Amino acid sequence: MNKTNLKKEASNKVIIFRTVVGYSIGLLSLLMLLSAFIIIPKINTLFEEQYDKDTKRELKKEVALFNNFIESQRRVIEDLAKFPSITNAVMLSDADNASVNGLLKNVVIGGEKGRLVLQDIEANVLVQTTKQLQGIYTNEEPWIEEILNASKPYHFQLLNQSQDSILFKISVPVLYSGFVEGILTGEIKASLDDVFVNQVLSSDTAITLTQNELTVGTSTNKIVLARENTAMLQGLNVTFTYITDDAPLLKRERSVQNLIFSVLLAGLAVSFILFSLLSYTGALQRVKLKSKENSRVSLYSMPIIVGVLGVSASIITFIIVSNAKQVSVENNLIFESQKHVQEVRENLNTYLGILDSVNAFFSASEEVERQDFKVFVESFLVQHKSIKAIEWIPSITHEERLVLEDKARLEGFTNFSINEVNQDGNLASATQREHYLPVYYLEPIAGNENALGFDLASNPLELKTLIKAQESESKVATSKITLFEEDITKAGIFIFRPVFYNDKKQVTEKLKLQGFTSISLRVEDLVNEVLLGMDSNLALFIQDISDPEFPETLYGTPQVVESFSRDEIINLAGRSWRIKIYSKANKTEYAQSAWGMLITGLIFSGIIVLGLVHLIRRREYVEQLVVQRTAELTASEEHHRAIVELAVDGLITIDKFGIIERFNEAAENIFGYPSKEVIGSNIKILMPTSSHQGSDDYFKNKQDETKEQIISIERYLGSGKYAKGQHKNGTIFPIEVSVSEIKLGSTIKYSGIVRDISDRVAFEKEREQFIEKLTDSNEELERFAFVCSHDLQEPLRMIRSFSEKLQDHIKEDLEHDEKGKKYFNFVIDGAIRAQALINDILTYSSISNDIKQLEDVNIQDLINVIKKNSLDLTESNTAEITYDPLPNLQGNKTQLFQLFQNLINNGIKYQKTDTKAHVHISAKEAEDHWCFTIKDNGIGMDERHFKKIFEVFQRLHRRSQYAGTGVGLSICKKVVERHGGTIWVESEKGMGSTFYFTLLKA
Amino acid sequence: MIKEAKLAEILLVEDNEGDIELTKEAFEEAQFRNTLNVVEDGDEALDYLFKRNGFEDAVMPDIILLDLNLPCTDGREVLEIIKAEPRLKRIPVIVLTSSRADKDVVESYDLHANCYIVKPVNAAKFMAVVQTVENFWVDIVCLPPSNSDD
Repeated sequence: MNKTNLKKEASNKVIIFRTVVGYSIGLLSLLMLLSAFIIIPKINTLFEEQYDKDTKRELKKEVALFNNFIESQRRVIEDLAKFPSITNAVMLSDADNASVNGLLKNVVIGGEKGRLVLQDIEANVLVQTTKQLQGIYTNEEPWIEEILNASKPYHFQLLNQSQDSILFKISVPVLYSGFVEGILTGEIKASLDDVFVNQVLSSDTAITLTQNELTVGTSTNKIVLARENTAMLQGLNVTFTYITDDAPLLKRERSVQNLIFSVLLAGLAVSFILFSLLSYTGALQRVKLKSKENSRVSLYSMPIIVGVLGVSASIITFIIVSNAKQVSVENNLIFESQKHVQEVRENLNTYLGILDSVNAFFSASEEVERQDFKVFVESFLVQHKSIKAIEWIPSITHEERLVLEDKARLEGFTNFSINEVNQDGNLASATQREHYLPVYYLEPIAGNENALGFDLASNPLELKTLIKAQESESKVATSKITLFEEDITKAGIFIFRPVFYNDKKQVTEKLKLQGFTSISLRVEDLVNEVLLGMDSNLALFIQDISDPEFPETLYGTPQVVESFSRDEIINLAGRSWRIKIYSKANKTEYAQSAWGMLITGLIFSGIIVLGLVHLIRRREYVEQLVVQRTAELTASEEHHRAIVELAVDGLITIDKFGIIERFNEAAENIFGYPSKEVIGSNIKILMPTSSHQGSDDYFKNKQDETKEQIISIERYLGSGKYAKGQHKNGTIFPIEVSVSEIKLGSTIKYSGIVRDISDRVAFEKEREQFIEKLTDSNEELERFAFVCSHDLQEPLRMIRSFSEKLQDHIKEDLEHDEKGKKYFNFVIDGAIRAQALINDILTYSSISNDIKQLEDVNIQDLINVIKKNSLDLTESNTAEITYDPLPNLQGNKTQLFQLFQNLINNGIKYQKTDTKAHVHISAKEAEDHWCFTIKDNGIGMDERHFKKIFEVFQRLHRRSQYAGTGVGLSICKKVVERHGGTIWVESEKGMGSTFYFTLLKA
Repeated sequence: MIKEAKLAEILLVEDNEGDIELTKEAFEEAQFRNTLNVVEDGDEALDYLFKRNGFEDAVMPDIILLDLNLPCTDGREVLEIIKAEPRLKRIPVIVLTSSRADKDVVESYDLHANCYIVKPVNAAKFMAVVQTVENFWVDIVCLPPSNSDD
């Protein structure tokens, strides 16, 4: 039984698990459908939206960068347009002025290949710096008119595109006293990398600029699926197009789609495999017994799978989230760094542009006075706070030194001298040497007092840079230096540009150095300009890496923790700066949310697994309980079944239509049918044909459910009903049936106990016959006794009568014949005794069994009659009869009279000669009978006679003492017993006797 | 002293006065010199035999004639007591009764009665039986010596 249960249990588990897996398959299929029609399109849309957003942002950024670029270029040209020599030139429409030519020739616009064009108000080209212009400069061009009538602040026009650079021009008006007097145009050739920063970073994007019908921009060769985002740059009248490649997006979308589908398919496949496996196992289990452990494993595989899935899902989520976070941080970093480094780059360009302007100013001027310098640079200093100082460093000989020193002192710098840092580290007047490179003009003075007059040639580092600048004829920046008056920790740089005399006769001739213009910058200020707009979570670190072996920190602290960072390299006037932007937070801090998700996921999985395990445990427990209970129940049911089956009485259960449902072994024996033959048949096959009517009536009307049914069944309900049964062989035999109704929910069944009472009936018949026989013989005896008494009385009467007659007759003869008298006495006495005996026997035998004629007997009345009779018989005053209140009884009056009379008379009769007899009668009520007491004060008796006296003919006294036949008490005993009571005596010799007897109340 | 035939002491236990009369007459008629002592019920018989309640001077009988139907203690009980008492058990007990019932006969012999005689209905026969019994038990039968210590 255990084994089968276990097997059942195991296969149940498999079935349950299989159902779960089946549901999983359904769920997964549903998910696939959902994915195909809802989730994936939704994800795609999200991707698209994100992509679109990103692209728009990129576009905006690119546009901003481009605008900045153009703006800075424009500003340089605008600054140049303010030069007095240029203003004068346009005012006078005279470009012969050498200073104008010098200025334009020396100004570098947009790289080395930039050109400048100056036009007067008539739009005649006054000066052009190259022979062949790209742009068209006739007054028929609408833009010229627009600028001249001041309807447009500037004009931007794309001109051309070469390999990796574009050519464009920016035209600004030249103003004099607020009126447009001419136009200054810069034709600028700029590298694409400088114009479109993003191009450097990604190859799958492109940017184009379109003006009128000309389109320039970066290569779109690598773009597979172009997506164009355009922005109209109003001021420039240029359409800015940002082209991105949709291919990666589509690829990404497809990969996500594939991922989802592969996960679902994998799930489906796993479920299907599990399903088949379980079906197979289930089938196996149905065939052979599986050990409990195996089923336990299969039972616990669900939490295991859930656990594994949960943990993997958590880990995957962790990876995805942390990656996403990283990607987002990195993206942000890229964006920020691009933006800010570009800003730095532009700012630096601007400063370089300023340096160029100053340089041009010196190149174009014969003589620049200190005041001219001040006026010229002031506007730059106002605009660009980051510029620490702008200097003019003339190259002088020792002869010129004194003149300059004197001149400066005359200009108000009374302490001016050419200085150097002496060996003690203090500023001191420079020792004499051939050439000096003193800082002669310096703006602003405030804060830079000590720098004025400082001989840069005295500082080897600066000298080296200056020499490099002179030799390369271009701008050169110093490495990190500490600026004058500055905190030593704060880094600064100088950018020098040599100024040569403009009187070169031959190309081969080496240019003669006039001096250097210089701009000094404080890196911190440079950074601060940028940092204003930077994400506060990011930090900036700038290093000069011109000498890779000995990098110098210019700003900030190096990245100390492992965090996201991005490097950008800026080339600044011969030096390389590495600008590192890094997130302040540790990488792990970014991963915190991902870790949180991982932990949450793991905890969640753990809880689910624990919950499942708990449920399974609980279920196992419950199942175990069920198995146990079932076993108990089965045992008890088997027990009951055994009782039913082995019962001596036949047990038959029928439904409410009379169809036999159960038929036990005893019933089989009684009716001779095997149970399988009768189960399903109607109960009437067990009844004799004559009885069918009744049961048929009942069972035929079964559908009607009328009252008759109930009445019919009531006929059989209850116990000990007699009926007739029919044996299979046709024999009809008596049965006793006890039918009880069983209500099982709404169904009603009847259970009948059947007992074959053939034997009992036969026995009863026999007994009845025997009783009849006995009654017959009793009657015969009674008749005989009656006849005897009558017939015997007759001869006795004869004997007595004639003995007396004879005695009388021979009276005289007997007068002296004592013996004869004696003989007569014997004869007569014998006859009298015989008569008494016969009377008593007649009485005794007439106390028949039948006391059916019960009547109400008033015992008290009875006693009164006896009392009267007895006292009449005895001489007065010799006896007394008393009694307590006595009850009325049901009984045979004659017999009860006999009973009381005999006992009372005995009490009087067996009396001591000298004592007055006293008989007292009392009665005591008990539960179902009365107990009577008849007490006398007579002679009493020994205990050994207590029983004997109730026997027939037993006497305790000689006839000479007390006469009697020895039948009286026997009669009493018989009467009491016939009335369902008992009689006994208590006595002591000489102390009187008490007779007790009980009589039933009813 | 010349040793003569010993005079037998006979105890008759009988409640029927008629029978006592007939027995006595039978003794008179046969001119027996034996002594006939009569007690009328069982109790009296036992008192006599155990010499108590007024029978302290009673002579131990040589033969007992015992009726079965006696008032009070009946003959069967008396027989049982006699035969159970070492001092009395040797005394021949002749059951002399009106009952012919086999039950009574068997019971009496079982109680070691020495003989059982049914009283004849006819008076002459009764007396003849009494005389025969007397002759047989006194003259023919050798009786155990009576206890001289009594």
